[in-house]
Amino acid sequence: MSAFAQLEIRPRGGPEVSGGNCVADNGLCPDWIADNLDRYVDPLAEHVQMSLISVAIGFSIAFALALLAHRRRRLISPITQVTGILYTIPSVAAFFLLLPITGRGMTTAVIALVAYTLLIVFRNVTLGLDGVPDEARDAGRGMGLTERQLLWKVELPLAAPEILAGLRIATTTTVGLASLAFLAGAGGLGDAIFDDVNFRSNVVVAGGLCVALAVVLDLLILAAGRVLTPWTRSP
Amino acid sequence: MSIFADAIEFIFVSRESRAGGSDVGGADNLPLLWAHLQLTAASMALAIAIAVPLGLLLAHSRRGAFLAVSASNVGRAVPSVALIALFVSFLPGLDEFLNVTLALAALAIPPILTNTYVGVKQVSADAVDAARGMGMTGAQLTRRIELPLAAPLVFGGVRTSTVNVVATATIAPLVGVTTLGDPITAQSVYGQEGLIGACIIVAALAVAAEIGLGAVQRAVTPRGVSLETRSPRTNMRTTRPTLAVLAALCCALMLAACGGDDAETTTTTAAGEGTTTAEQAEPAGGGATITKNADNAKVTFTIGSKNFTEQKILGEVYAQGLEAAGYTVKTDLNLGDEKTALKAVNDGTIDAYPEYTGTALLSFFEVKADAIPKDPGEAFEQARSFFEKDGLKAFPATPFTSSNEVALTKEKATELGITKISELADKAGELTLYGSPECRRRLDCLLGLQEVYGLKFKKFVPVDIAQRHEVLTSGRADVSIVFTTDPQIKREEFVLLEDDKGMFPPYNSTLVMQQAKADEAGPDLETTITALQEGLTDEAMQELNARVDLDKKDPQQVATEFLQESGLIAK
Repeated sequence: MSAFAQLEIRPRGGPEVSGGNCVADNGLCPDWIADNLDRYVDPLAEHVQMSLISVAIGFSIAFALALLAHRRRRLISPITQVTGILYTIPSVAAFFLLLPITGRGMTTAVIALVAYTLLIVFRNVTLGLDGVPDEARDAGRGMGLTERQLLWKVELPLAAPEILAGLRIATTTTVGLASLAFLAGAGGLGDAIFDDVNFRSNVVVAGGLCVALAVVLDLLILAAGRVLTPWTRSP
Repeated sequence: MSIFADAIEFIFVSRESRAGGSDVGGADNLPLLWAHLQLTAASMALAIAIAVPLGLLLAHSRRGAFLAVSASNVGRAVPSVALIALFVSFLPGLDEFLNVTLALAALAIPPILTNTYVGVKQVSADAVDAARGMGMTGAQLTRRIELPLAAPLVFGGVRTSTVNVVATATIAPLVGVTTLGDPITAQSVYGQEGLIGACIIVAALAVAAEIGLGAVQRAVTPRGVSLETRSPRTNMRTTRPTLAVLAALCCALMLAACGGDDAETTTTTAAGEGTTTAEQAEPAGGGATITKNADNAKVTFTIGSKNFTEQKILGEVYAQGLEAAGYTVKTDLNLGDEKTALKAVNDGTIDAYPEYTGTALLSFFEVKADAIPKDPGEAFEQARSFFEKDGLKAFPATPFTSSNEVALTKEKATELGITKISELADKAGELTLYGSPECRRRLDCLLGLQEVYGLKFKKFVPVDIAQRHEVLTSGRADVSIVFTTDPQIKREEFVLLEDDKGMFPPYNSTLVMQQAKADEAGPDLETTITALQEGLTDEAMQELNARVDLDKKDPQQVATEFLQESGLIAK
């Protein structure tokens, strides 16, 4: 123990510190950002994972509910109301209310995030199916389609633009809400923001990544939509 | 007994706070509710005043479609926390209430803007032509045709934004306004029942806003419009009575759900991921004190920490040190507050985390602040014996202490001519004090300053703990509560007032671990911890904090630097 070395007490700021005086002045520091991008990799990955899982699960549930309600019209009203209430509960509250039941971690975050996608997707799928012209249905029946074929070959394709619009809103909303999922111990970019909420470079990079992620996913869905619905493109 | 039943009781019945010295819950929630409503109303008024005219303008300019639609869609993804943080950062001179109002209004504008734009755009050209034919001027056209016909959509936007603002106002206590978010941000004061209770109130408030504004929306919808839209979508219409029944059902479900939760909380664990760097330290060489013992590899530790810089560094120091000794180590840093961290040790999510003796005594073992020993050794001994009764081992504490301190700028201290807290007595009436949201109701903070020193500050403003120095340098605060090991103290030349009545308890850090785990790990564990802590003096801790807080390095990297520079592991 006698050979115990002392921790070096360094001067603050100056050229030898990454970002130098810019960091000391709490500016937007390109050098620091370039040197520290790696600290955002894990939070971004968590954010992407959490958002995609939630949207996938939420879309599946809401889509199934909408198909069910399409056959049994009287279900539309109660499903809209229940998912509407879930949508209204503030996310901060939702995360904390779930903690005692489902514990800290990704599961809790995903449950809450799924709850927020339900109303958006359900409403848009229902609106899309309702918007299918009766003439198209009649034509389909005239061609001898069964109810199931009518749904998959006529109604859903014609409702696709509304459904994709719902998916886009659900995705951007989820990406935004996932920035509070750190409250449920699920990490994500919100964690990175709160790591140093006073340092502008940090908040701008972490917040910017969140917005960029939303834009990228939005564009991907938009592009996928154009591929899936060739008839909506103007010639 | 379930936490949800306690939470319901918290909403209606007042009780002494967890930290002692003041009452919370019941009628004491009313000022919080009032502030929450005020903030919501102010932000919404501002947002409407900006978004509606702007939406009208865009709709008339016939060019704003892209702006209105992208504002709405991308606006959804902007993290509200980032927005508020940036507002506070770039406009530090403003009054807190105004600042938060601006940030919330910025969040509220996009939906109203888009809906106003779309609402005006969809007014049928025939109606506009008919009005022109009747000789209406542009202003009349807007007031009597466009706005009434767009009203349902505009109100739809207002409704969406209001619910959003009610929700987001919950984080206002971190930036200076004490709203219903206070029990959420100050758990050590309100306890978990306060947190859950506040969440229930906020959720109910949001649902009420949604339903209430829905009614207003229907009321402002012109009869002609509602007749027109009703026919195709009768089924989609939500009716008030059913909604109320459903809201009640939801509450009942929530209450019912709590029946079995006690059992569940202990079984659900989410194991931390993110193993620390796999590279092992070289076996002893060049004066390294920690020697690797291959037999230790079969013991796995998950080291946790609370959610601020010093804790994360300490977590990394223990994790990397134990790894160097041959143990298998995982980390789960950033757990939140002390209650969350302790719960994680108890339910096995983590095996150990560093806790401060003062915090443990005050928060876990409910020792009153004035009854805590002032001698660091005695305080540790007391905490250790309490932990022992709960089956936890507290390893010997660090040399450094990270106590609360009362800080002023050098100029202010000179101007007032003071060096001790007691000398504030006749001056506090003109001074503004800033502290964490918890501070307001803690005996080792504002409550103690009021009761032990008899200080009556002009105003107390709560802020996120990370802003404790910025408020001094920006001149917002005359006095701020900081920590002994804060590196900013040295750089900004703050003056720490002497605690001449010995109010602040010692806060040395001790690693808390399940006794069984400590026994399993063998003798190398305590040897390693002792070696790691030896160099953690006040100066060293301040330097390590500086490298993260001021130089903006990663805690993991800084912990490695500490181990290397102290010769604990090879470079």
